Amino acid sequence: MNDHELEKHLRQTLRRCDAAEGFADGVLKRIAVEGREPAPRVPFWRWRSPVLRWAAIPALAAMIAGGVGYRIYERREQQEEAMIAKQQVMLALRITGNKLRLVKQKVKEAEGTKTENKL
Amino acid sequence: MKRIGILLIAVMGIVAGAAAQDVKMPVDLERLAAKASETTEVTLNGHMLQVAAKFMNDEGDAEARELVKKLKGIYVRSFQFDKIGEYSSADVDSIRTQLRSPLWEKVVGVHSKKDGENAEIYFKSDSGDQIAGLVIIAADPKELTIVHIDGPLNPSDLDKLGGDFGVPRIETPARPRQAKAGAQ
Repeated sequence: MNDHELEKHLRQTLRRCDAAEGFADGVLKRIAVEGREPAPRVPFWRWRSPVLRWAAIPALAAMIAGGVGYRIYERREQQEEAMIAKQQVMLALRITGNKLRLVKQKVKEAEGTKTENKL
Repeated sequence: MKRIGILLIAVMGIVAGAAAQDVKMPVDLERLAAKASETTEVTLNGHMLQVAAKFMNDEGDAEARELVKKLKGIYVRSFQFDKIGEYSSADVDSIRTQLRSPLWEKVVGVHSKKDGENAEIYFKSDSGDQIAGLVIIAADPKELTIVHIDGPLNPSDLDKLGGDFGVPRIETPARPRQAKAGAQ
């Protein structure tokens, strides 16, 4: 396809033509349907059905209680973990202290033996 | 030339990584737990130490808390055996090998032929007057203990550790003086 043919082809494809009949009406109808504002959310205490209204209250209370309960459980878990960690720290420091004292004692004994040998 | 540069950087990275790598408790030690009559194992990383420090609010915890807050880890393995010869020197050798790095220095080594008790203390050197880590290997015929404290320690911390630090203080309540009681 040479340049001339290409240009001709493009002109043919992009030529101005009228829209199909009823296109404008269709567009206006869609705008009318989609452009409508969504229905406002009604809070549960204004729900028309009393069953739904009363059922929402315990559900909300259960959710709040569940959230608080989980926080308490989480906090307790953290405290337990910290207490175990603290006990382990104290145990480790105690063992370290014991071993350091043992070494100190051994060094003293060795120094004492050396002094005795010198005398 | 560019390749040599990249290779050099990689080698330097590996060397730096190896230097930064800390002492690791040998896996072989876990095997000793099966033979031991009593095993104590403490593994506390920096996070756990921070968690513990937050709850060290009892009377007499202040010194320990201050020390623990700055540490990166405490690792203890202690095994007590019913019989002599349940562990060998080879069991400790892998940790000794790690301590041969130039960062570590053996500061005390006590070997008693009489009762077969051996103890070694290693310090990890740091710029300044602080110690960056401590390893204690204490071995007697029926007990083997390895302690690794990772983190900065100053001489006063060591004094406290070797003193009554870490051991819960049992204090008898002071009796009210006779004269004071009388005055009230």
